Amino acid sequence: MDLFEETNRNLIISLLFPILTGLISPLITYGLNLGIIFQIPQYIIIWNLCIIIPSFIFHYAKIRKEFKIKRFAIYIGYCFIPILISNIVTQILQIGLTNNLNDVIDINIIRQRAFNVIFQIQLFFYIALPVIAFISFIILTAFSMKKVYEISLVKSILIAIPMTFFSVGISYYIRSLIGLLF
Amino acid sequence: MNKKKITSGIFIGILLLVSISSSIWYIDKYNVKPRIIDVYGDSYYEMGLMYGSQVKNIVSGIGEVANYLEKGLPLLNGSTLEEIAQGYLAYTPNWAIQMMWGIANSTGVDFYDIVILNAFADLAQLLMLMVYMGCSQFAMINNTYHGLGPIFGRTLDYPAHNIFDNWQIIVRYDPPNGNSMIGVTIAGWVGFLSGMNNKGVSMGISQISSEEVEYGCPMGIIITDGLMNYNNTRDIQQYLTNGSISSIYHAGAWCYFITDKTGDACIVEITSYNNHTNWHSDVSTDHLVITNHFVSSEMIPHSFVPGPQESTLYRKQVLEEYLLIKDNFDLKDAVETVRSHYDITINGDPGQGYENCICNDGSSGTMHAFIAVVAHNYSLICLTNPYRAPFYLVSFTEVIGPVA
Repeated sequence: MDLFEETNRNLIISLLFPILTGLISPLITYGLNLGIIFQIPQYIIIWNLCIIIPSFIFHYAKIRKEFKIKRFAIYIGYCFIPILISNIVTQILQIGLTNNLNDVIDINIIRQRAFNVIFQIQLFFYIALPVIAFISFIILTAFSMKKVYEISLVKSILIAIPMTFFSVGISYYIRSLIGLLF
Repeated sequence: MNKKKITSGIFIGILLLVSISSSIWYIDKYNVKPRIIDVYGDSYYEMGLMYGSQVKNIVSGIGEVANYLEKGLPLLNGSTLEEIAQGYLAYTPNWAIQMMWGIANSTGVDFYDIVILNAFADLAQLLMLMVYMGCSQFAMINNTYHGLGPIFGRTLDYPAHNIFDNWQIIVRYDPPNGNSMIGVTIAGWVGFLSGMNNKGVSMGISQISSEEVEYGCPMGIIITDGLMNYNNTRDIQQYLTNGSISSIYHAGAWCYFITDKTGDACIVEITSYNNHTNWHSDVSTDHLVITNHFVSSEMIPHSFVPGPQESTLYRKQVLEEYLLIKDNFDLKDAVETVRSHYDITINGDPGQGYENCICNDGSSGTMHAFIAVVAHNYSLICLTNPYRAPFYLVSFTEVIGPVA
């Protein structure tokens, strides 16, 4: 089974990743309820912008490329995997890190717990994982562009970096707007 | 071929540079240790010099922003910034004026710009620039973990939080006269947004929208003045409402939340002309809560809006009916409370941060979370959105962390 073959089934499978990425944090924290669907639009917006922007750039560029939106959308969906993993793990880590203050008063005990090796390792990954996931997303997006539109890796990375920052920024403000509407 | 390799190498270098810079910025944002400063001295002017020298870059940056704003702000009846500053200075305690002079001289920022910075929140009220806020404050008085004592917690929410949270610092004061204090504030402020002293008292502030605002003492300075000079809730309440220092005339409309280690807690609702106190002892609950609207029926008519904004009521309800209903409320519960995105309007958590939540990313996002363990003289502080960052334990002698 070719996961990247240009079929509707593969498109739906790849779309599941940004949707799951949006759902997973509130799901872990608060369980299954209707409210968690509000998280999804942010990641769908990022998914959309990451598909549309490069597709239009390449189609209207000096050396025109054919529109390959469906195939590119399938690739971009899978690029969300590092962010999905990061959202799962950081949420679990946050719960674990907060347990460090469970049933404690004494500063000395708090200090002892904070210097515990396992706590330090958890803390490192809590802070580092979103960074690693974000950079991985940029690199995977660049590789997707290279694969689908057959451009050089250097060009694809140069487009992927600002495109990702722009998409995340726009999605953040649209998410706030959705919140205000409700 | 060599030229291609060099070009590829340059672009890969750019990628590495962007990645590493972004990573360092992101990680450094959550490392608050460099932003904790200790301020002491034989005089308040010396304290100001010490303060300013430690945050010179941040304050200078704020000073530049103030210069741009000065050109665009609609000033009051054609008043200059110096005249406006004089309006606040007339009601400011002398120790604070001395400190502001010290900060001005050590940072190179004009003294009147420092005064305006310190009065910024009250001035914004006077200019009707900001109406709806998202701060939540609570105290768990009874039913805390055995031996923990009362806990005060708050989130501070403000528009343009993405800018302001970079200007926040933690200050530990050891003044020549008065109590030692820990406070969260904006660099260049001599006052606090949230704070506690070494006599087991904590104070926080929430903004109310009211037309009853005038020149007076800026609220941050009032908080520090209260914590520095008084040792319990009752005395601070008297100070806020009777003006035991003759120059304490309140500039803006605020709710001061005071908690002490004996479990005495109150909310003092204040405008420039009116005030009312709500004592925890008058309610039969384990906790006390305030968001951004007047609670007392006597004070509600003095609010700018006809009634409380819905989001403030939802947040109050979330705290009183869900988050604070816990047995043996401990520090973990306090951290989870200030991190909560719980929104009762949709019967659960959207995973988002809207104004109905305690911790939110909306138009008035959460800038910091402050938890005061008043009976044990330490605090838990997160200097950015607490949902995304760890907490540090800050006592009067040490900084530990992250701890959660």
